Amino acid sequence: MSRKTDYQNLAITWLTGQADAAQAEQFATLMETDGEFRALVTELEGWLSPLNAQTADETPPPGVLANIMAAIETDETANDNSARGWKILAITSSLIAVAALAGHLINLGAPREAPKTAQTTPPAQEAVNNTPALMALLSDSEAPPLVAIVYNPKTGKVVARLSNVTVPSEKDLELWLIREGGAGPISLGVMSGAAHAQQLEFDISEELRGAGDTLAVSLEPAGGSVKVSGPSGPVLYTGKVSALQRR
Amino acid sequence: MIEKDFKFLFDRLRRNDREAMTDMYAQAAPHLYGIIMRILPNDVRAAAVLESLFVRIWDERMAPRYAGKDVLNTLRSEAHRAAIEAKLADQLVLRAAPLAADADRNPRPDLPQKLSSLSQDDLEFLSCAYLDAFPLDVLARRYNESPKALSARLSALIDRLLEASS
Repeated sequence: MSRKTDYQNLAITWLTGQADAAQAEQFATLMETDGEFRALVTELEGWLSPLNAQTADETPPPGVLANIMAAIETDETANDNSARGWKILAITSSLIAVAALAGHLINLGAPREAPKTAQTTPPAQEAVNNTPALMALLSDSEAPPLVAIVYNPKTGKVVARLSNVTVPSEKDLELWLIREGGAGPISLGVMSGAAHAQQLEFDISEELRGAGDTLAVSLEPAGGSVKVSGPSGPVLYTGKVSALQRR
Repeated sequence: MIEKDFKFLFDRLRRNDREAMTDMYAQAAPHLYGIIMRILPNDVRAAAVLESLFVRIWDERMAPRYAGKDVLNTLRSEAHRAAIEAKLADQLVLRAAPLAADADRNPRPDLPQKLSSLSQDDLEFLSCAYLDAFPLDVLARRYNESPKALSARLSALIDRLLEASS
């Protein structure tokens, strides 16, 4: 198969949302480095984009414009290490947060209240045994930033593991719960120490469910969001809560 | 939305006029949000993507692509790409989105001539694949064809479009 055909197939596979992780990575790399590929994608989009004229308008939820205006207001005095520049870099890196529910609890750390039997297996080994998919994601040194969040409903604690995640100085990550049908994001806590630690454990006040819950991580000023109703900074990571199955 | 409106708005943005973002949002956000929502039928996720998209528009307001002749389609493509990026990121743990009940849509007559030359079936298929980004197995059930056959059909359609433009 010719390179042109390969490029064409990759482009249409990605543009129609069919790409797997490897194809998505290849697409991103070629878009960065290969002018011929970029031109092909732009040409295809030139043909396909007018189809969007068929798409019905939708009213965005309230608050989006205010967040945008707040972001660009803040940016005026920011330097090259501004939160926004960092955010865009992060978002284009295809980020994801994962939450696991819990009769399928995975012990990624050393819970303060862990039963003695849990200590007989090294935590990292236990994680490997229970979460092959997650560990596979984390194992690639070229992988994009990843936040893996595991929830234990028995203790109400979450363990967050951060991989390839950089937190700017004087900033904090904050964890949010977005519940389907809920009024708005609920703060589950500021992930203090994320700048220096690869693993954090903390209590959350809400019980996570297996369906209809989405977690999000935003980048906030130190101490957390300055808004009452939700994130004041950019949302960097999101992921649906899902149960992990034991083998 | 009229192309000249966008030209005017981007002229203002390039002069660092933040208020132009409010006008840009009023003009374009419902359409771009509609594009994102077709791919990410989750309003919270879609809103986050829309927000990032507009912040990026501000950041890159000097980029030549916003000074071209077809800014509306550039914005549409960027909304589509942002939604696909989010979809592919989520896909690592999410199941495929269900087939929307209202997938039957009639293409509008204001399509480019070469797209209009496609058969109604092909146009509808292309719309489902591109606008909704349905997984191939979902499309396969809808069209009663194998995912492989649909993938080949998609490639053939793209070939036709690219050949027509070369």
